[in-house]
Amino acid sequence: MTDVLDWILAPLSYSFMVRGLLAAFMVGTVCAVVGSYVVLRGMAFFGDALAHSLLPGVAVGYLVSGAARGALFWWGLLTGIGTALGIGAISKGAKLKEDTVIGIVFAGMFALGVALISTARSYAVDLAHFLFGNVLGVSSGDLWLMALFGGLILLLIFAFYKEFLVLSFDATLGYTLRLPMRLLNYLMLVLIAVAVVVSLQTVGVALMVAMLVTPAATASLLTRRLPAMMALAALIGGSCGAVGLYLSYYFSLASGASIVLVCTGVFLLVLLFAPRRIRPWLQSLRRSGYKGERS
Amino acid sequence: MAPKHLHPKNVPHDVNAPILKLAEVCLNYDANAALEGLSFQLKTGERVAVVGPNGAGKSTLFQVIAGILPPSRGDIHIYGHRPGRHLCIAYVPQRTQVDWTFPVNVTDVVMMGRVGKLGLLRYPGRVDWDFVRSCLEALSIADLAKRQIAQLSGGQQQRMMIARALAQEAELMLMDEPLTGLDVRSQGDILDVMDVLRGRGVTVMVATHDLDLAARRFDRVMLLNRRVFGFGPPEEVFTQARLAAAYGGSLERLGRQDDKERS
Repeated sequence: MTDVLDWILAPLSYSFMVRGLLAAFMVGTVCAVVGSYVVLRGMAFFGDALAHSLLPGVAVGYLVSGAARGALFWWGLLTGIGTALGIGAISKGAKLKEDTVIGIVFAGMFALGVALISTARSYAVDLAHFLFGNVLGVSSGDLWLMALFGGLILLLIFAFYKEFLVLSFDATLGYTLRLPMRLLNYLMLVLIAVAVVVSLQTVGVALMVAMLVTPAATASLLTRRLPAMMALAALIGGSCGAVGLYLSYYFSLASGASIVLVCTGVFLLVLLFAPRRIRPWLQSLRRSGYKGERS
Repeated sequence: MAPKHLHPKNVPHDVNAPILKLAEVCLNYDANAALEGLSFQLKTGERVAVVGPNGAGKSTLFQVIAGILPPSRGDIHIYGHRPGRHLCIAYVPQRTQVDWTFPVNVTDVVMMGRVGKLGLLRYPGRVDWDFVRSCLEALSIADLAKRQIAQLSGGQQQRMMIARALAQEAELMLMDEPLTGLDVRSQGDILDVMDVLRGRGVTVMVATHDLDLAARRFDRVMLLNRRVFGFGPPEEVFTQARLAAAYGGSLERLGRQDDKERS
């Protein structure tokens, strides 16, 4: 027992590990909640593209402000929101299919980012940090920014819950209810963009889509209503973030990859066992619960 | 039964004007006309079937009436006002357009109809829950309130969507192929539901492929293929000449196509 406790407590004596764990937990939670809509609306490719499109913005910030990491967040935020609105506007106006537009924007922006970073001397190391994250380099200033914006995302998702539900389930209904559907759609795209920027340092752009999609998809296999799906996704995302970071510490794995692998592992386990075992079990539990209430 | 209007309407109704009036409405997609010169009025509480071949513009017409698609030319008036801000029009989508794996139950879906009246940053209160309950009861699906939508039968799915339109307090319901793909018994149930709606003064427009049902169960029928080929009592509209004009050469094939869809 003390061994387990030691295993858990030992890394916490390093303040960079404490900051990393907090960051991984926050990213896991926020991405999973936003990701529930990404999964339900089939926007995984959009999320992936958005993450990759951050690279040129971050690269410019990196070339301009050099070592000052705090500035990268704001450069990322600017690029992320710009790209989200840009993809939204282009795919509405153009005669091309949305995934084609996303593909063009995504690859173009990503190439621009790689080209910009390749002009710097410490090219390989820095590119790797942007691509795969560097959670142990998170400063307490970064942590505050993540908490602030992560909290804001959760607050807005809570505030616009019923409108986002209509937007995701039946946009046509939203129009007949005279809701500002275009505005709501853009708001959701921006929230996804901000979640991606908040997660940039923890998992990096290349693996970002997993944080958006995997915990939410796992939760969708186990739940039957959206609030429960979001809550469970947040729990899965947050704990996978923390567990992944521990594994990365003990087995010297790249932290972003380790976190994503834990998410994937949990998903596979649920996929293997849930449909046949957990789900009918949950349903029978619920059914007997209702009877109990009535009698 | 809860009060008919729990919240004030966004748009005042001129009760002397017809519930729906179209004047020379046209809609163009690119250079192609999807709807041409549509002019007609509906009477409050009547039940109209819109029939026509595939691609005749039935769904497009509904979207124009609901204010989802703006017409290229012409005027639409709901109780004397443009449809832009009316909450009293409901569009009941074809069942194939709905994601039935979405994690919501029947009450969640019907409550969505209340979202427009609730307004931003407000959560449903007891009046809304009671109202949703009464809508479920009106459609005889109160026992399915907590049922996952994936577990509903076709007829139950359709009734849930109509309950949602009731929760919206719709006075004009536009139903896109509500009878397609249902067995005969469920079709009968939905037609009975339409009698309930008539009792509440709800005006109903139904898009359907089924000429026979349209002739038997509707007050008036509209023969549509981009433009109106006839609008009136079924016996006046469903003449050999008019049907041939609307369907072109495809009328003989139509019978077989209907059989296929029903099976």
